[in-house]
Amino acid sequence: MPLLDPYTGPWTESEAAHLARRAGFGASPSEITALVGGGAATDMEAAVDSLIDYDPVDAALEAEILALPSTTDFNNIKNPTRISHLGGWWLYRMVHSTQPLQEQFTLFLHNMLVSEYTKVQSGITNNVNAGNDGSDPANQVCATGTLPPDPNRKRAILVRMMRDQNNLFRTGGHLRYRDTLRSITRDPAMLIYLDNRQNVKNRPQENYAREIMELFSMGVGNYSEDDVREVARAFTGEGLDQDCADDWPYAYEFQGNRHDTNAKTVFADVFNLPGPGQDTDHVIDLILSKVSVNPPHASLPAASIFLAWKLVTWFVNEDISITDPAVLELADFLANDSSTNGYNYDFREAMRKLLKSSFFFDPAHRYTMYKHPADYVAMALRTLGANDSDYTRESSNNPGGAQRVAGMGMTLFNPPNVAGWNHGTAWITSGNLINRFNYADRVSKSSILTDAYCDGLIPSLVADEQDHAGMIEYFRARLIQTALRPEEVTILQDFLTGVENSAGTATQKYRRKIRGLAHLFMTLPQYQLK
Amino acid sequence: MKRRDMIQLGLGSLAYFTTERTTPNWIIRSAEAIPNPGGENRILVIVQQAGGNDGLNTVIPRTDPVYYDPNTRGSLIIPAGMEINLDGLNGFHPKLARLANWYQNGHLAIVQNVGYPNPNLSHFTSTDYWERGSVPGVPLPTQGWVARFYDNTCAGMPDPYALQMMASGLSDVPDSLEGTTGYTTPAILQASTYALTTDSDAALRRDAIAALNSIATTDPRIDFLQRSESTAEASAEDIAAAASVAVLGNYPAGTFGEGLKLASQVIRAGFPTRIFYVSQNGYDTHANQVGPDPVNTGDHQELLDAFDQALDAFLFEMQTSGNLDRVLMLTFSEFGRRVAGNGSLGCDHGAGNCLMALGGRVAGGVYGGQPDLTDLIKGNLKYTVDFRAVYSEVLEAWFEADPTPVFGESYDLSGIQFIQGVSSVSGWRLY
Repeated sequence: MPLLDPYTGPWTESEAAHLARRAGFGASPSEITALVGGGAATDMEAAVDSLIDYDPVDAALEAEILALPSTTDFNNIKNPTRISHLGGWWLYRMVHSTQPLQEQFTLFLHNMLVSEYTKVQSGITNNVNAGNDGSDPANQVCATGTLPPDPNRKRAILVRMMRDQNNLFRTGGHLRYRDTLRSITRDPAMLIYLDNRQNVKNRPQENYAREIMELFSMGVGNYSEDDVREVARAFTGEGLDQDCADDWPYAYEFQGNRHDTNAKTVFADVFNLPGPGQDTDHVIDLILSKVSVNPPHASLPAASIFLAWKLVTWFVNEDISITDPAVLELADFLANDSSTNGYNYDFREAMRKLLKSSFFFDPAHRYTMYKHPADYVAMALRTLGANDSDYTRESSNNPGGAQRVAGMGMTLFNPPNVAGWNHGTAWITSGNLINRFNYADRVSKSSILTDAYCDGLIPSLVADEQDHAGMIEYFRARLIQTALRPEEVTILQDFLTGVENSAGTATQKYRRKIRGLAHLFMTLPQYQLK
Repeated sequence: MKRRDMIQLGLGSLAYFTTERTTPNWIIRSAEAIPNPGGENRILVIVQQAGGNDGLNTVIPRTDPVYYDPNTRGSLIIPAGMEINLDGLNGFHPKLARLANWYQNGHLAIVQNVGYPNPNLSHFTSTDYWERGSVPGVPLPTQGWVARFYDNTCAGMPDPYALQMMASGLSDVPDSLEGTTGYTTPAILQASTYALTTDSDAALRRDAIAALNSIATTDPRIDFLQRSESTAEASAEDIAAAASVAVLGNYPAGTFGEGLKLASQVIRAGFPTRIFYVSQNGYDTHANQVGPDPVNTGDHQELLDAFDQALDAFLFEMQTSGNLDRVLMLTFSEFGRRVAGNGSLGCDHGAGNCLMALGGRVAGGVYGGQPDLTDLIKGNLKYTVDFRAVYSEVLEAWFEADPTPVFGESYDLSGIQFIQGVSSVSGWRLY
């Protein structure tokens, strides 16, 4: 198993920066220095461990958020009341997290275990705002309990559902995937998004049954259409209650009267288990154990291969094929974690193996991935130590950070379809690039690169207002982290000379140089890569 | 000459790409370099209905008793008499009233029973087949079917036009248009934000950005990024010009309507764009396809209403601007849906389906026969018309190009010749 053997090459700034770009949202030079430590193999291991062994709750981050001043934007982040706030709520975490892999991994899972908020929203009845006393059978909000009128309840329910799902990924998503799959199957937003709350015996429907196998575990081709129909039967009755007593009419509930109690046959296994949800858990175990139909991997569970491939293409190189030997090695590692109950798929240990491997640090994989829109924004703000002044604004002419990310093709909480975003080259379309470059322009404004920020670079990071080489190096070390092309240096110097030769005081021109360089660096082809 | 000055040289006569990796790879747009195209410069608008449209509730087989069997279709049935009769055998969903007028005027063709052998019921696998013009059992081509046609037909052309193809109302490029050699297709989600902004030192910054993105490179990723920047910068001015063209039609809200609206503006602004791709999402109606009133409630009638409104607005603008004979719209969806309904007022993934072609040179009518609701495979409609035959009709009759190299085989088009009255003299010319 040579590819995933521990990396034994040099442990320098270059390798540490690669780790930080992939297993987080990049790192500033001082953070990279800390990751390098003494430059020994044990320092590499400690750096990877420090990223992977994160706490379920980033206490430092939550304390920081609570201490934010009471601006409209920060209030939206502290207590999101509309779905449009939630993207900023998350983006702020990506920028400020002290456990950056936690947020990158949450995004990985969000992109695999998709729920689009637009459909979840349309699946929440408008009647919840009117409320009712449970006596009107035509108004199906409450089967039991009562619900007082609240004009904002529907949007509050949507925010809570999407945030709860996100926190499911955030707190334990990096642990055993088997548990995650059990949880997401009963997650209210998912039960609405893939319709399983309406999956009932006699005329079952296949939406969740198909997608859990095709997109959440095994990949297309490893199950038959008959399997889809039988899994749908096994999932009948996994639904949501309409008990309004707790003011929350969308809690998970197993509805035995809607569950098909006849024998089901999935992958030739015949079963009908008596307890609530037991059929579902059994199906998940069957799915995670089903051996691949693909000849190169025929001895391994299909899910181990598919999930290994998902990890590798998100964290190492999106061009890697599912038949790559490294994928097979990681699949084999994932499949080693099993018990009598079946395969657990411990993502944390798989990530530890992957991120410490010679495969991960292979120079051939560096700068091979296209940054996704959240990377594009968060890496700039993190490495520059700058803060966006507005993450949640909905205005069309000056939208906030999350809306900017949406303009680049990534509406957080609303992937385009159940397969998630196309990544790789799909991020780099003309329209998405325009929105990237316009965010670079936004970063260059005095609201983000403030006068104090610019002036504070002198003299420790930039010698003086005419130190053009120092200014270029400042941004190179943060935004690019590899060598600039000679032509680029010339063009950037010409730009600085142009500003120097224009009107204004030395201080004014200096600030325009810094801000202009931020804009230009974020339009460099190299900055689109990670 | 500064790049900025070159970009100002002339709209409508632009090239955005080179055919090989050279410096500069952003495009010198020279009005003189591009001859004025002759002929009709025919246009294809591909309309995706993403998610798997229920063809049986779009084009209703109004004389088929199986359709009206409550044990099969259940709540999904559009009650007899509510549909809009087209030809006696078929009726449109009541929300397709505007398109029914286009049918009656002879500008709308329906092709029934379209599909492919061994259908795959995954959205994404089946969409791959439709977009790449391929079927199960053979290696999936890396290029889309339109891209292959484009590369075949344009081989050796000296200076192709700008905005030759565009994805309108989308933030990513669909696979149908993906993979054209040397060309990065613009994707424009909305015209209003498709413009580069610059805070201070605008001229200095713009010049620097252009220069930074036009450095000779052998790195394929850097090259791709630089090309994409060139496409973005060059197309942004054209889109701004197009967006000022007056909107005459009544488009529905949302990115689908916006996409068709912008396509119409680009056409009416006189840009030589030949291929447009628009997409309407939401057809995966496992649940709540219909509500308590199957005609006026539920998700499907809402989708069809917007579909009807958007296509009608677009065709109206084409007609009033004298472009209707230049335009062909072709709809597709990755699969039809299960004939029988499920227990949640919807239906699951199916196979065979219908599609539509619309335009001034479309010979209206119903092609491909009637769907057989009794001879099913696992509850799904069989196909009798290979979708690649439909594509071949478009390539052969509309673009006067040989479809065989695109699909690797040829098809019998005798029953699906829905394009008629096209003069072979004034047809497709790329240059």
